Amino acid sequence: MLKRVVALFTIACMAITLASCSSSPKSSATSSGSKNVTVWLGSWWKDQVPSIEKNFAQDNPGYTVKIQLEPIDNYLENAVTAIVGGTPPDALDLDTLMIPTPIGQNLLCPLDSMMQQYNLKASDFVSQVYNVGVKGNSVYAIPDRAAPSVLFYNKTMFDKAGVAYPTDSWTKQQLLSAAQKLTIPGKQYGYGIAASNSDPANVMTSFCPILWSSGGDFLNKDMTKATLSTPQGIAGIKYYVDLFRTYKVVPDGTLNYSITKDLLPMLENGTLAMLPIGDSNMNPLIDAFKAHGWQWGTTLEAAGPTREGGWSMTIPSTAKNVAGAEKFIAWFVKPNNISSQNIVMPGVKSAKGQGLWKDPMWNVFWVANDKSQDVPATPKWSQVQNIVVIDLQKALQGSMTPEQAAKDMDSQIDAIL
Amino acid sequence: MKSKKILQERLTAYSLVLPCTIVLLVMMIYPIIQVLQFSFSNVSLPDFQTQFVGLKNFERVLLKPEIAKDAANTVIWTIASLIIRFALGTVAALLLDTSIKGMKALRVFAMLPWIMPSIVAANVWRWLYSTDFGVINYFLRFIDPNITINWLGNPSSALFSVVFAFSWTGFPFVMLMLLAGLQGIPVDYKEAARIDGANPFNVFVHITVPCLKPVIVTLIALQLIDGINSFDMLFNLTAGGPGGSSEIFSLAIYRYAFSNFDFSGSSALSVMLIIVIAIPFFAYEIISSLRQRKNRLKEGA
Repeated sequence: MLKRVVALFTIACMAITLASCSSSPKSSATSSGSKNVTVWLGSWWKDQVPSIEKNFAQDNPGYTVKIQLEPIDNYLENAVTAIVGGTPPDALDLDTLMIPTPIGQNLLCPLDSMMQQYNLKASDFVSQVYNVGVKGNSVYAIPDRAAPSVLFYNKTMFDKAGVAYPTDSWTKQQLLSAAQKLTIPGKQYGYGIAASNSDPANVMTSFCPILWSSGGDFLNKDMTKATLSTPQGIAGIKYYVDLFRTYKVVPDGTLNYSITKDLLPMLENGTLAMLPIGDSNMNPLIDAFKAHGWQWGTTLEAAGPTREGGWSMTIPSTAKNVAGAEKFIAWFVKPNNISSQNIVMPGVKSAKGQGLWKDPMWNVFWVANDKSQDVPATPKWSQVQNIVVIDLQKALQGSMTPEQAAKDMDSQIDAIL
Repeated sequence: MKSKKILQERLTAYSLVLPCTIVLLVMMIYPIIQVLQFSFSNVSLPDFQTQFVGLKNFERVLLKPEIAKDAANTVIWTIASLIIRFALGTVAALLLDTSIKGMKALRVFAMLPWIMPSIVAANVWRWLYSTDFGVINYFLRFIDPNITINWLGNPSSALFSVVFAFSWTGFPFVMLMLLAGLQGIPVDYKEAARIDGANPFNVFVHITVPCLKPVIVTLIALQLIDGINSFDMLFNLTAGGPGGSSEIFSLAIYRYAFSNFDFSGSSALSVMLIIVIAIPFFAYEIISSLRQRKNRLKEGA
């Protein structure tokens, strides 16, 4: 018995020693002087990786960049794990919805000196994407992609139903009316909204334009109080819920649907007539429509500002090669470099007239950029988003009225702000 | 001289065990200690600097409105998946224990759900359960278009739908263990019982089940741990939705840590979960050792 106690005590002592050794603060971002730069991009960049690596090395003799592609599922979680674990990339691409929280947690480096060094100006970038990366007087994220949503619709389905095509001046009532005419219960649906917990960003893409076009918003101007239970906020939630519960113009499975996994395939197979989509969905959709022999069209989302999506380059606070990361980011966001790829719409304004991005097909996205809005850049955004998605689901399933959901959202959000 | 030799032998033995002990400490005990430390502290990022706050994190987590629902869901999830896995595993094991032709091939086939990567299995079930274009509702529509079910989008069916998918991926392990146990039962026992007039049901209840008891106890322990720790199937199919109706503790721990960046709250919940898991196993250990001692005393008497 005594032997066991001694053995356990020894193990515990060793473990505590180990714990205290590694509890000491990890080193913050450093410049190793290395000319090898590591970068994380989303997996959709796959086809462009060889040319980015080659062109960067050509333009910056002696430097090399190693790009690691990460799937969108758990992207932020993987990034945070790498940052706090001390093994982050030197440059990290982040979605606008992912940026405020890591800034608030001191996980990203300020990039003001880099902006000066490489002569980058805030006015060079799509402002809604740029502003998300600003906290106080410092900038923490430099936009490389702008991704406003536009309304993609199946002209062939509209023609069959004898419904007029959507226009830029459509109201929400016109959207609902067209969606009703296009819906055949159990077979096809007029409109698509996302509500799945597994992809909160998709829910925001669906919900934000409805909320904003009703005059509502998530927080007040100085981001100190939730405002979803204002009459305008409740009206937005009610419209969103009514699409599913009252008018049934969105698919039956909406409560567990995301845009990417569920609604886009429905749009591609002709069981959905209208869906707000982003830039990266355009080419696959057009290919699918061509294969079916269907006609398609795009326009601005009905009534209100669209949610400005986007991605920005950041430098993790535990990055090993800050100077190399800065060099890569400055090179990557140069208009001629960022517009030479055909994967995502550039977040740099002057890229509009360059490469394939000057094609008239993209005009609607550039216009949407100017009419877009982004979610509040509060460090608590991840939590706010979680609260909103869960209560929206409760309202959609009928366990809360829109008023109750709005009040509950506000009280929970106020508690964390 | 003799004691020197013993000491040398012991030193050799300890030096051989040392690398493994270090790995064990680093990989298993250190994370547990760190979780314990975080659960009693305020943690600030990115350096994980800690400030002792006593039991505040536990209090904060226990007062969260969703915690009671998460606890109930965790119990339902663990028990239901245990029962379904055992039911499917037992039926499959009994079937595969017969000497019908083709059983060997069927054994390999029956292992597929277990071999399949969980992300693949989750996506397969996501397609099967899809309300608008899923296979299950496709067949239901043939019977009556009004009987389709929103499997993953309805709070009353979401948790059980995922429980079934989760049980499907895990039942082959139960089957395999039971099958190994069944094949280890001496044929003489069953023959003797039959000669004494036992019917197949009696043979199963009085011979098969008692002989399988050690395997069953081990399986229950393993499946309970697997159930409580499970994450990926639920995360991929519902992520705890709709409206938190299918959230269990493992998902809540993940959400606190990686969505809310609340590593203290996440650690406090983890510690409580470890304690909850540990209690039945310690209780089982104590009861079984008391029983063994009692049996030894009886035999001695």
